[in-house]
Amino acid sequence: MGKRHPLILLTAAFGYAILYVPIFIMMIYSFNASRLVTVWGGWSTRWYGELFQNGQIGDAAWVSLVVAFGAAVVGTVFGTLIGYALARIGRFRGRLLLSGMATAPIVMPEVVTGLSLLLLFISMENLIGWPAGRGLTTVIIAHGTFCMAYVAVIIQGRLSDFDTSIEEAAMDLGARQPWIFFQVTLPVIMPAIIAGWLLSFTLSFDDLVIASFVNGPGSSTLPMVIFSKVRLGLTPEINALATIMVAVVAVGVIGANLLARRQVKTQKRLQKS
Amino acid sequence: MANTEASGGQSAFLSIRNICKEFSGVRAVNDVDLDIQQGEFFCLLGGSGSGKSTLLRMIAGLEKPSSGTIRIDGQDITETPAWSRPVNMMFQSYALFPHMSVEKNIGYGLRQDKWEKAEAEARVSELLELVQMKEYGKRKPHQLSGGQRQRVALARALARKPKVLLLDEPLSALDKKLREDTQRQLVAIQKEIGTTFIMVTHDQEEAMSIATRIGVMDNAKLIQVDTPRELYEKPANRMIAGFVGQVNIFEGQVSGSGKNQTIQSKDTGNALEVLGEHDLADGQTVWVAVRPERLLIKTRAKGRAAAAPNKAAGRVTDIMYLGNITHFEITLKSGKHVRLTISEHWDEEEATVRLGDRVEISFEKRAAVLLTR
Repeated sequence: MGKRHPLILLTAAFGYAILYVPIFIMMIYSFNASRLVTVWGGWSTRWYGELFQNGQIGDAAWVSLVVAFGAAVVGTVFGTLIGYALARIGRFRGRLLLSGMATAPIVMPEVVTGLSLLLLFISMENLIGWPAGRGLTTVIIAHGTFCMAYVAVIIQGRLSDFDTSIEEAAMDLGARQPWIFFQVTLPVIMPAIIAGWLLSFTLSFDDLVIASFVNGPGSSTLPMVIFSKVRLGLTPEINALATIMVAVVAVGVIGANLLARRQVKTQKRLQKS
Repeated sequence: MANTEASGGQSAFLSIRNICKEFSGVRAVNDVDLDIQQGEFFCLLGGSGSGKSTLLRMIAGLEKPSSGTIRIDGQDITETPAWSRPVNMMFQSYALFPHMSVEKNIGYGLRQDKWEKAEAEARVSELLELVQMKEYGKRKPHQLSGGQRQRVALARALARKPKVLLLDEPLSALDKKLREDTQRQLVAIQKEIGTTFIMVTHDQEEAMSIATRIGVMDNAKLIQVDTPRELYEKPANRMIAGFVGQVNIFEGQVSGSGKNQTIQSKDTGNALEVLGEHDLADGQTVWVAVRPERLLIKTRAKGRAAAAPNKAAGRVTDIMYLGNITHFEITLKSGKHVRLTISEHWDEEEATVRLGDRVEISFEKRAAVLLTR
């Protein structure tokens, strides 16, 4: 690699600063001893302590974890199936449209997704009596739908460079579908599935808008609680909470990336020699 | 090497009749008939797109023939799905299961066939021994070298004791040195277990050195099926003559008929003579193929034309000395380039040929092959 132009480095530094300086400042202020959010009063972990004693936030955190876990499971199972189907369905007219439609929730405004899901849940309740009211179930289903889209994209991408001859080899050695899928395909794409799960977990954990539409009593997620608290004025507690959330999300995203990269490396090594 | 002759009909172990395969209107395999005997090491030779891999995949059951039948050991398997055919395949990419150890890979087929655990284990270790991979049973494919993976793939394909083993360019991913060693191992293993092997390759040297018989495919058709020696010495057409080894082809025009029939060549400026009786028409264009090592060379004085059948005059335009053999390129008076090879124990006169010398080349009748296509 040749020498980099200083302007490129400057641009990169500027870009990253815009992205991360606010988060960094927030993290520092979460260790602020002062009650006033904008005035520095020395280092302290006091707000973390208070945070853990706050029952409302604790409940919301639990709800968020349950929702994120459930949505990630739902999204991963269905997303994997869609991704597999899209990768293997072969070429036909309207294939592009179909795969575009599967991934539309990624670009759909969240307000639209949230509102349409709310309407769906209400009409379903009127028609078949399920889901009864809004609550954990509806939030999980709603989050599951958009997680599904992300997982489908990841799985489809993974399968596009998948050596299908290993499936043929399994068939040649006496295996039939669906055993080939479970014994060969699934284990090979597992890292991509786990990456999809982690990403889903993170996305669900973050979501405010869709959850606001479809939640019910007792199913307020963490972002919702934070948002309602912030409207009443900033407290250093929120900084501490946000810092923890950043940590959780970062672990999820980094984990997903590492898994994806490890898989690519193994694949390359196999192909190279 | 056994000189197994094709004896068509019911006695063949693997018998393919009128097999066709169309991919969206394009014939990938066009009306192929092929008989292979038990215990043969058969090679399907052809360039890319010749249909050889498609034919192999139809025998494996991975492609469905558009028409025709395939019988193995008297049993029609045309409609049998891939998973229950008495045939196994070794894939070009080896297609090892990356998440399974070497042992698990080899035992996969046995688990599908519900073998007893102890028997399956014994079979796996027997195969590991056969391919000399005993110490590597617990490794994963990505921890193996290319040659080792190739051997695991072979062991895995042999595990279920297939009646026919199909090999799809199994050596193409290996470097030259390793490939030659592996060819020898492959032949040794095939002799040891006696299973019928059918190998697809685009490498004519590989096919020549391994196979008991070779089937040459071109443009979706099976052109010629013969032993390596027959293929080299009696190629059916110019394509095969050029594909299997190097060859000089002289074009000629038939004139006259019966006893007085001669073939005049513009390439050599003389008549061409070959052995045997040939049913040729007056005015027909034919070709005479001569291998570079069958051509003779001698220096010639200035202005003296070589006026006799199977002779031609020219100049040496290139010499490539390789130690054991020497390649000459000779440009004939007609402008045609001829390749000539002389082995190390040449005679005095040949040894004195220099670049730019005027030479006369010639060949004996028995060294020439007449081709009508």
